[in-house]
Amino acid sequence: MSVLFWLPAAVALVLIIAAAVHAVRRSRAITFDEERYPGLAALRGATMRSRYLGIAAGVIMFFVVAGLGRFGQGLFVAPAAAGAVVIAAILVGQRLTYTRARTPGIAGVERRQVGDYLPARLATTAAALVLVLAAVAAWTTLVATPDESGLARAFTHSCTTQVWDQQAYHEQVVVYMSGPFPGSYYTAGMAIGVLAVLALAWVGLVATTRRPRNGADLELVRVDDALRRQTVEGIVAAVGLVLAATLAGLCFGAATAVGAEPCAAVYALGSWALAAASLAALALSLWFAVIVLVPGDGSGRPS
Amino acid sequence: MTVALRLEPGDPTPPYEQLRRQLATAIESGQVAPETRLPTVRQLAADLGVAAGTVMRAYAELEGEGLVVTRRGGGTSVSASPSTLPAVELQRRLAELAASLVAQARRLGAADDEIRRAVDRLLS
Repeated sequence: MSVLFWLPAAVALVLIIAAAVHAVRRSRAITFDEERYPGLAALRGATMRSRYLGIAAGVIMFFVVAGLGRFGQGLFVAPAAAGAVVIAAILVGQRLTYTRARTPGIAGVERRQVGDYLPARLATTAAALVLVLAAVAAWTTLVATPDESGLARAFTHSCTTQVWDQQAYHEQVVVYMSGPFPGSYYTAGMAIGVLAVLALAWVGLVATTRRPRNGADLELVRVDDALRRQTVEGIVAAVGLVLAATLAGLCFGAATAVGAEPCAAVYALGSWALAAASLAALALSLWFAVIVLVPGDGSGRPS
Repeated sequence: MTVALRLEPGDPTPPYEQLRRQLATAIESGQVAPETRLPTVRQLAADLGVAAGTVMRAYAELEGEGLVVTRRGGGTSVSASPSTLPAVELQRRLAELAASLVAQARRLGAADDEIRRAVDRLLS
């Protein structure tokens, strides 16, 4: 077997082991006196159920949307569509148990803000991914050229080569066109999908933060805070998964097209750099996927 | 420590006034520190299960007394230095606090003499 088989297989194995270890370390439940706080027990149950229903529906949505459009166009929108379903399901779960932590007529003097529940490392990574994805998508959109069908999904570049014409060598400019390349044909739908997910996520974060509670009961506040952190973590991780998976696909598509005819070193190097970025984004996708699948204990410790 | 706000359904006092009184007591006693940002109107109304107008009116009354300030886009927070109350208002607030103390002490089963002695000990 060649290194082309063993290297990706070894990387995949290391990533899967890392993900499994990470998942086991996270699997800790939020515990409290459920007889005393039946509302919180219902809230915790609904939070988990809606998350897993959302994941199942998101996976189905991914495959449905991936098959839409011509030339794999749906593949670039599928992560966003799946992520939107997961976040929407989490939101529905919150909505169904909206008042379960509330005791009418009793409240605490406390001001809750989205930032109180945001997991710092996860949110920073997701924010960085937004910037990287925007930069890469802007670049691929700008450099893409129309293919034979007139769709912006080709990468065109030229190189000067030496051509023998019976008597002597002459310099000749050769133009290469390769694809599919993630031009606007792919990135337009992708951008709309990602922006929709970001908007939906914001709605989810605000709704989770605003969910009413009896802030005067310290034990209720402890458990409710953990549930809110868990929910917010799920939303941010779903966003991160959408961003990382989309970036992985974008970089992979660009790497394949740029490296198809590497007539100059810059194209070969560019292709390898994009492939490495795609692999890194894939690893990040796995990390986010584990967080979506295995909720933390809501303690606010780094994921 | 979180300050608790309780609206008594059996109390004939309007809910906004119950809220205003409890917040005023918490601010004046220092339980809620100066410049503390109070919950948004929408959040507190949702937590208590009352109309937003109830909280808005309580905040407006507190602002009129100089206990809180509301800034556009910045929400409502406790005044940095609560203004000195006019004599009439001070008498009214003192009467409220005394009534609250007496009511709570009587609920605990204390006799009037015991309540008076407890206050005297604090003042001496």
